Amino acid sequence: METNINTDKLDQIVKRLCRVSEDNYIDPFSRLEWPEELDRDNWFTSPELISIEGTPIWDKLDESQRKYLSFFEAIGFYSINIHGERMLIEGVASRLYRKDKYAVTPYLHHFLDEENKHMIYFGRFCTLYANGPYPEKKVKFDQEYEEGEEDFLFFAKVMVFEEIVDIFNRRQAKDDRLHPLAKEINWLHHFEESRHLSFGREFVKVLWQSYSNKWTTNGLKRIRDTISSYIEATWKEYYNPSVYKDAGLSDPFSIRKMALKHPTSITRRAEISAPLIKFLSKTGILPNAEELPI
Amino acid sequence: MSNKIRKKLHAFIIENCESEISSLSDNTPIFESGLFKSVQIMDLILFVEEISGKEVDVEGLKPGAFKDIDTIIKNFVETEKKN
Repeated sequence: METNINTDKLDQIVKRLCRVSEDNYIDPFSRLEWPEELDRDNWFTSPELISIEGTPIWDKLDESQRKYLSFFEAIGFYSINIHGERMLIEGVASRLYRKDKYAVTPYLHHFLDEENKHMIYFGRFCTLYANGPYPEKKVKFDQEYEEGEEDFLFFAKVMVFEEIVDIFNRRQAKDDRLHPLAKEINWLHHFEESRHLSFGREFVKVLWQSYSNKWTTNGLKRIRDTISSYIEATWKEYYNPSVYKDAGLSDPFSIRKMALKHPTSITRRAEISAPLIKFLSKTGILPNAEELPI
Repeated sequence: MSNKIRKKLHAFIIENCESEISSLSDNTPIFESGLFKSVQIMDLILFVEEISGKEVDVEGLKPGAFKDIDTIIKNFVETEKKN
């Protein structure tokens, strides 16, 4: 069965966002200056956003070690962005001009263009100044879906990924302690991502309203479980043993386990996830979102 | 070496599984039987890296590469012996 997704509010958002994207077009190749070498005596990630900040291991590091770690945390963060955006581009491209996506296709073109540009910034930084992005530790599983489930889960996952990433971007875009290039990359990403976020929330809401009453009880449970688990899995990517290893910390796998469980990390994840959790709870997508173990 | 790793994998799966395990053999499907959710694949990959001391190159891999303990050992632990 075909569902024509086109509400007035979504239509208005699509038109407005298309206009803003066209008015603020950015050339990714000329927008940033890329020095041959980076002065590594700088912060590349805001200290408060570093995955082990507030843990006993962090307390033992001096400022130069913390700055050194902040560079690899940035590579880790940019790698998460690259892999997330690659998944997003694949999914969005396959939905262009599908009959039930006519209404949003004009904006999907901008979405694709802008996500591609973000991958250029992140990819260039990782390849120029490190050994490329860290590999993604995921494998794609085949699954049977109910009507509308695949679309809903795709856009819901994109929203989860982008909402969390954007808080990191927004905070780091304002952080004058950061190396100017790192600060600017975060600003550029946030600048365009804020539009994707308004689109994402509205579109997820529309898909939810269009399909959720058609899903079976088992289907609905599976969908809710998938989103809950995806939030948890997304956060786990921020604790990357390769980052700790490259920063010269010993026993990187134990550091990951310790940091994931540490109260400071749990508080940080809950605080950063709060707007997303509020949205999922308010829309009824995850009625008990506040109780999720994050 | 691979026996030690086998035991560690058993313990890891029991500790992190999503449902009650009545029996876990080296051939029990880890994902198909619902012991692990698909999103736990990253935890499993990182654990295999930790206990084998080798990085797992996931590019192009299918979930079948992590089907059960025997398959994991064959794909990611005993590969050096063959070479």
